[in-house]
Amino acid sequence: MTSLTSDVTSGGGDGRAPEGLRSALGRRVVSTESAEELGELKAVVVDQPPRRIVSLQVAGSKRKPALVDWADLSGFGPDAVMVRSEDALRGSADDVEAAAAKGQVSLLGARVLDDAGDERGIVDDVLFDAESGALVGITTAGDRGRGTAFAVADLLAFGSYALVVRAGST
Amino acid sequence: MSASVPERLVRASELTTMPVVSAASGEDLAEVRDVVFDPTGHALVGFTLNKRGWLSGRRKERLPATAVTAIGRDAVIVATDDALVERDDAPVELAAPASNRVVLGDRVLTDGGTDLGVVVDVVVRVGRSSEVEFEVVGYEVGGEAVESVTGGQRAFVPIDAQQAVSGTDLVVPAAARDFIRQDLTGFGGAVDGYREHLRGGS
Repeated sequence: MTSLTSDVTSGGGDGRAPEGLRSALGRRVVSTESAEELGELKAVVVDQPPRRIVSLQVAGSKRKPALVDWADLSGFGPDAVMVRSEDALRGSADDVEAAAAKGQVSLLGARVLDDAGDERGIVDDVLFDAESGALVGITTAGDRGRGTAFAVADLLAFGSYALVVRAGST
Repeated sequence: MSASVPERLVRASELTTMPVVSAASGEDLAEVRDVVFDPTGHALVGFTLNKRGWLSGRRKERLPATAVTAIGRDAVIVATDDALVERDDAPVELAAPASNRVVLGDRVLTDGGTDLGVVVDVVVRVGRSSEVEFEVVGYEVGGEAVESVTGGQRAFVPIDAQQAVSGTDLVVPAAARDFIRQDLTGFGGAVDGYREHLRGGS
């Protein structure tokens, strides 16, 4: 509904508009310590159920894709994602991160399936709070021809098959 | 507000190959191979399964209906990743479905002796487990006998809880004939009307 969509896209009313993952991908990732560019933002890994971004995947020409914990950022800005130190870059810690790093699991474009067993389109964008990494919600495309939105509380699980959402929440 | 209606009638054949998805992980655990139901009580007992993906094949595990939280247009939803049970741990009617559970090809006769056709599919009531009881509510029948009754190629015959089944023939009360429909739209109402009639309602 309009009210929920506006809640999701306005970040729930704390004044600061949420960041959209689609436009954030490709953003420069820079070391705060050395001012060196480490690469660009390639993907994000979320927790389960999806509530926040736990790590970011950084891809650069000089290095293999690496991950950095959200906690190791000094800022997620409009022009650059700042990492405290290059030392914070690490390899995949588990299967979820490894799959994300290989591009096998991506929230953007993921199938959206509600818990009544009906498909609801695909994930068009993921909205999150750039201060905390907390997810705000998702917008979808192709839900019987119309886009819709789901608030974070209605995101039940994200796996290799689908992002499962609570039915009856649009 | 819900985009889904509380209940829907589908052919069992539409459920085969449907993915079984966990609402706890977003993973597809298996896909439906066959729908197993109790031929006399008609409750959905569960599903036999195939593996997902390119290397698909039969899975030994079963999915009991009690572990299913919803059956929708695109997926069978279970609450947790451990919803599938080993064949040996499944209820016996699900572990080794008896041959008389396969009603496809059986002839439907009324207790007055009228041939209503041959079963080509079964009609299942689906939705959310919290809102509907998953059960077989009718048969889709085909064959020459159907044309003589309805003039069409296929028809839907409602069924009620108890009726005779032999493995080659199914016997339904003659009243079922009055509740035959030619499409699934409105068949739910016919099933309700039929059951009400059997209970002396009308």
